[in-house]
Amino acid sequence: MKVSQPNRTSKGGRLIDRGKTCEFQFDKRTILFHPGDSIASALLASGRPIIGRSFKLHRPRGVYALGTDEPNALVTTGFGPSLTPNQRATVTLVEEGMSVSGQNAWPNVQNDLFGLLDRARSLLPAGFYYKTFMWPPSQWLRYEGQIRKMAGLGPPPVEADSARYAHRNVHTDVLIAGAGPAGLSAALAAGEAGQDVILASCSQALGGGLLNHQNAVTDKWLAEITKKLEALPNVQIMKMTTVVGVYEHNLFTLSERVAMRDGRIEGQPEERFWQVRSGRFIIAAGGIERPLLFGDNDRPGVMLAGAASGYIWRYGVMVGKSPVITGADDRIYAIARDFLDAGANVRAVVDLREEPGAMADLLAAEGVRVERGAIVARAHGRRRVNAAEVWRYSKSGANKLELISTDAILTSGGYGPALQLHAQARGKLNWNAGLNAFVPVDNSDGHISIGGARGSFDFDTAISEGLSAGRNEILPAPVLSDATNVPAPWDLPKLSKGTRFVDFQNDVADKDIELAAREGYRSIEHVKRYTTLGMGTDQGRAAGPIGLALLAAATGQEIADTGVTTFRPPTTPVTFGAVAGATMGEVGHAIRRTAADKFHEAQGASFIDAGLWRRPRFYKANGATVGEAYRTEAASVRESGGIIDVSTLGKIDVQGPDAGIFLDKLYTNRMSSLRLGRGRYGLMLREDGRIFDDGVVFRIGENRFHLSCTTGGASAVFQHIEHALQVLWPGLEVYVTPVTEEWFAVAVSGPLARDLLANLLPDLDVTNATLPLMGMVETTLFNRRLRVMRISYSGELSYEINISADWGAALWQRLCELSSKLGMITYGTEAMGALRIEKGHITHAEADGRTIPDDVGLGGLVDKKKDAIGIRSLSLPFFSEAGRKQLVGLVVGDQKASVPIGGQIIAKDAGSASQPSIGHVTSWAYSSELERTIALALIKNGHSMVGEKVFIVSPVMEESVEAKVVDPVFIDKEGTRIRA
Amino acid sequence: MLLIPCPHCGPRPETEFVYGGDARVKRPDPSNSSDEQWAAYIYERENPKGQHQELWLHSAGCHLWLIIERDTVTHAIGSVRAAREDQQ
Repeated sequence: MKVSQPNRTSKGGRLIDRGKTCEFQFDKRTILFHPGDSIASALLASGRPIIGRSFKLHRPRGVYALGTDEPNALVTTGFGPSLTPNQRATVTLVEEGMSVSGQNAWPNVQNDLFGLLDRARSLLPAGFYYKTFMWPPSQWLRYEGQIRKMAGLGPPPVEADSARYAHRNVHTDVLIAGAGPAGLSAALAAGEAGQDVILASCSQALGGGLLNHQNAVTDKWLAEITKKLEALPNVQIMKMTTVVGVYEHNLFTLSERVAMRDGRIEGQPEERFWQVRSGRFIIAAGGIERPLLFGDNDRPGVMLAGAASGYIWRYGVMVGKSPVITGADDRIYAIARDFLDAGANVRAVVDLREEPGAMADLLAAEGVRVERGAIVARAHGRRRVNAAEVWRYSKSGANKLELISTDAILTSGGYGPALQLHAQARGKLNWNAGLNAFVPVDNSDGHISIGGARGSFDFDTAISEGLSAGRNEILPAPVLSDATNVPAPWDLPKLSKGTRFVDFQNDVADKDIELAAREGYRSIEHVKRYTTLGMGTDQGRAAGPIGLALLAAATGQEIADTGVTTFRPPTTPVTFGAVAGATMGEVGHAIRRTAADKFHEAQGASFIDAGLWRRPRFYKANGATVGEAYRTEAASVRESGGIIDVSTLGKIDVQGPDAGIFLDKLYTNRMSSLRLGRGRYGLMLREDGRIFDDGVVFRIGENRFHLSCTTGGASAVFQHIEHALQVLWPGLEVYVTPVTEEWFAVAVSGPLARDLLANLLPDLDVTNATLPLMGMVETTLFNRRLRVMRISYSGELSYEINISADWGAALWQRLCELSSKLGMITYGTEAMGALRIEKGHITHAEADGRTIPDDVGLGGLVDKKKDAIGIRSLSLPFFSEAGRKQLVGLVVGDQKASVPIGGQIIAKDAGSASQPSIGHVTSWAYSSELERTIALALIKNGHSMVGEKVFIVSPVMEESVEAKVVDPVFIDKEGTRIRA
Repeated sequence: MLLIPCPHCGPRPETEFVYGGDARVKRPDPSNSSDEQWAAYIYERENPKGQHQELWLHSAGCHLWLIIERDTVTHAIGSVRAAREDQQ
């Protein structure tokens, strides 16, 4: 297949390396390019008019702009793990062998069958989908799937991204966004003043708008200032880097496209995401060229005139060989000259102004057709422009002049300042009638707009503003052009047929905005959401001002009063990969391991996450599945005994003369009365009376206590305690230290627990006299301090053994050896859960942030005679109203049944008419001891329902099981086992 | 993202802190407050525009609970002091 670049000029192109010609694929066709080409410039050089399809109507679209304001040319690059959808072809550089495809089309963008939607254009006005697919509401989910197929962007990647991403955080004195004359000048001034400067240029070259022209004066200036800047070590020049977000306290986020700029280098990331704290922020983001409104102004071949010039000088690409150029300022004559110099046959320059002046006369004298007081009213040609319909238009009237055949209509609606960053930084805007644009109001809040971004499009002004801003001087008032005879780009009459598009990407036309106004929308924010104006990847850079002006006209408001929509980060799309950075996979999810983790793994543990901890859920030796294993493990604990790693439980050391008084304020029951070496189970409430956490408190010294709390609650409990100490009762002398990581802890449970303890510590007196329930002894093992606390979660005779964490593995190993000799097993959290359900002990499933102590049968732990956090709330009237959900046990009718996940409780069988839920299951297990399925549940007035029949249902799963309400303590109600 | 000048650790990013609500809310004497007064303490909060006194815990730092003066509109931070010192 012969490949060529029909639209490549014979010489020139600042950004490309003509010495090298490479290939890439676009929709499986080979396209030639030179290194430095963007996807858009390479495709334009190849002469391909259609690059994309529009969002809603699937109209064929070509390249429209040069940079981030591109609304049309969105493509998907790569495939598989490197697939990236919605890349803007104008700012994405081509790489050798790259695979690029068009999107939102079937079978491809050249021949898109969904293009038929365009024929139904009149049937698809603003809000069409809202209006049409509302009825019946239940069917929306079904419609949505179909609509998404037709209206959408590129396909989301399915495979995990293979690229690496990195983050970097820095502080600097000055951050400058934009490397045009203003930005470069600011960087030089600040850099020479000794400030640390970061200069971000979204292009691969410095110069900004200067790159779009050939001019000996500006080119020389650019070369000189570049050299000066590169010599300043305190100025960091970052090419292919965009300031994407402005946040509080001068934090800025930057997206640096490393691989695209430097090539793919081993070890280097695809993109780097920067967080920069900067003393000052200088916005030199330049201007944004605006489209003109005329019929079918979205056809491939219609382009922004300034962008078309840019393609010539940046890439050596001539977007049309016989263009028609139209606009309302002198810029169009310079652009016509660019095309003439590049060898084009300029068909006509169509100037809206009736008396444009000398530039027009000069060009006309050279034999170029210049139409004064004329407009292009419609673009002809479907897949590519083939003619411009030109009308004579003045105050006195309009008449059709001629259909001028052409291959490109280049439009210039003038420039407005790029406002995104200024507005994100909460800068204010003023309407400027001369520019027909909003301009930033100078701001003393650490950021300032300069150059084009301030409305100063003149080269010399941009430089002087840049120098002043760089030196942190106050800028002179902006020199904005006075109101002139320049018509605004939206102020054009509709003279011919064809849709006049405002927002190309989202297919929003002038009549959609007028329709929204007729339907009563007044706020630009509402119109934006109703019509989707400005909601694409280009964030309405070009469309916004025009949409605004049309709304103002349709509602009879001034533009200045209509206001603008809120600008939010990011200014240009940022990939999720860049935001996530290196925090992916295991790095993104820190894992805390107990001291015995390696042994658990060697013993065949299947792990489960408990907060950041990983804990053995069950040991595979005890059963092939989790269900099988936990039944075996739980049964063994009750028959002989077992050991479990409980190091993850939170542990807090509290000491000081006021420690006892302080704990009385934290727990509902009294802790100050604990005797030395004794412990007590306690409840902490939130100040609103709901259960916050529970655990056991031991008095380990005259003025010293050891608190335990739940694994998941540990960090919140510590914060809660710090709050009580520092904010509520700062007068108390108490010192609090989290010590969870300092201890390794094992629970030894079951009838043989005492034998195991005696074998581990032969010298220790383990009788009830020395070590009763809630007793504690300190001893040593491996010459390390060891604490044995007699507490039970399982309901069996049980001890918790604590040792310094670095000896945890040794303790675990020793206990494994000794316990297996006694026929005891290791067990995991799943069996622990089953055991505590049998005993009716609560976890966060029951203490779910709504329950109060009475609800879960722990009202007796509340000492109402004293003040502790949350107690006063318990006497608020609504807590004593009937109908509270209360903790009960359930025995399931079918002994082997499992309980529906998320099961709701209803009073009658699910087969009967719909009925309200009276409660829900909080946890369930198969009880090996009772040989049947049991559950804990919170049921309205549950305490008075013992003995009644209920149903556990899951309407989603279409499941229903019958159960009987019982007391939540299923085994050993008298507590003889734990006291054995 | 706020840059909070911790009096103990120096300026630190907001991500190191945990927000703790309105610092002006003081715990009433539970034995001497009506249900209405107590419920107001638990449930009623203002949402002021402008100056606000807030509690922040420097949880990834010194673990001080701080009282921070913050403008809810501009995010400008005024005085910052340890809650403990404030009340002693």
